[in-house]
Amino acid sequence: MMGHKKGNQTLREDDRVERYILDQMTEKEAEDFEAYFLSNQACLDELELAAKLLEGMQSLRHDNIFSEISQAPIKRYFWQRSIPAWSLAAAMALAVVLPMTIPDPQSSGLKSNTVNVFSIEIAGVRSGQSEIVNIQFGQVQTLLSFYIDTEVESFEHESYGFRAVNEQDELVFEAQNLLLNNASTLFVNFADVKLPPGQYTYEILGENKPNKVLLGSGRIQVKK
Amino acid sequence: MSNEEGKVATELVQRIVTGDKQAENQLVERYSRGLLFILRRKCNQDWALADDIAQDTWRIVIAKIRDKQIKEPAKLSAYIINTGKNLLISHFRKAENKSIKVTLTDADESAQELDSQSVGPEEFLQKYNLALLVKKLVLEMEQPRDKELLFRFFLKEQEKKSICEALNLDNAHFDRVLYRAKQRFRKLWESYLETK
Repeated sequence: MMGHKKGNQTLREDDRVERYILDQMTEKEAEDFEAYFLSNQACLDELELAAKLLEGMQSLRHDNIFSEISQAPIKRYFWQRSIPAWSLAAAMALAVVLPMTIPDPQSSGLKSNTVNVFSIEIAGVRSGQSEIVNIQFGQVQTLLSFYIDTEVESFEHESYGFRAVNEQDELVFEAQNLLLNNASTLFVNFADVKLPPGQYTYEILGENKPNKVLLGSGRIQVKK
Repeated sequence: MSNEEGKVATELVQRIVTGDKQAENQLVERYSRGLLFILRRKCNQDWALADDIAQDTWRIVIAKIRDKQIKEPAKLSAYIINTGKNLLISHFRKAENKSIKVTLTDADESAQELDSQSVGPEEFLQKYNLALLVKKLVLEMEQPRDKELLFRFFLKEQEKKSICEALNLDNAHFDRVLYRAKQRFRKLWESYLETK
């Protein structure tokens, strides 16, 4: 077995890290590898990095960044992979949450992991007007958080959209393909977009492609 | 497992058997990161659950060592991992049974559990920023074929051999592209962490 202690050259030639992360090992191989890396800090560095890269790549699954690439057929089908009991149990326990539209990173801020969250509830009122929400864009990233009451049948959709228009009825911000988390919360991330002071109207849309339904709307007051 | 690992593990076990508390700390320190990595993967990145299971694992493993119940000290790594996995499976089985027997009086507790599993804004943002970093990485790649390699490998989860065949690449090229992508991602990720 190739070791990780021999340096980067060895790591480069060793594909066990990716095969483990992608669940491409047999159960026995995975067990042997786990026993190997349990106390191997260099190998753990590689594993943690590869896991992050995989997580990031998979969040781009629906992004248009890969639109130029031919849709390669999937050669491994789920019934050819062993699915351990813990995996099924874990899958039941957690929902995946991430916006599907990731903006061009050249124009998006990654300066801070601190976040301003403004919570808005639109539950129970179809196309109803909510109270005006006061927002101040600062140095940190801004999220709007909407509670969507999925107990109301008309509020349950494949995905959701958000749009904001200014007082001249011009579209100033739009996000599509947003997913609820398992607490029925929808996050709208403004990333480094900072709307100028003024009043805006927002709409929350339910998306069942290709159709969109207005679920609720309201007003945002952006302060200096 | 290397001979060196077997020797270190055997020595640690021997010291714990003789009542050496420092050896117990060294044991946890040596294997903790790896155990948490395995457990987090197995419980879908539920860090709180992984931490709890890891704590229970150390309690059991250390008790077994003190009671001289470890038959093959050189295979301590495997024993730690199996103990952790068994505890996790047991946890999920209990949770599964509990969900079947749910009653009205359990409703509040279940709601609390659901709440603890929900993703908060900080985690949401971290995932979002991670996606931005990876998108930057992909946009920087000049060769469409290299992009496709990553696409097939990480998103389609195709195996290296079939990707090389489909894209007419040799193993060395595949390794080079993946290695460069990982190195670049490491830089982007580390620089992001520095800003936190």
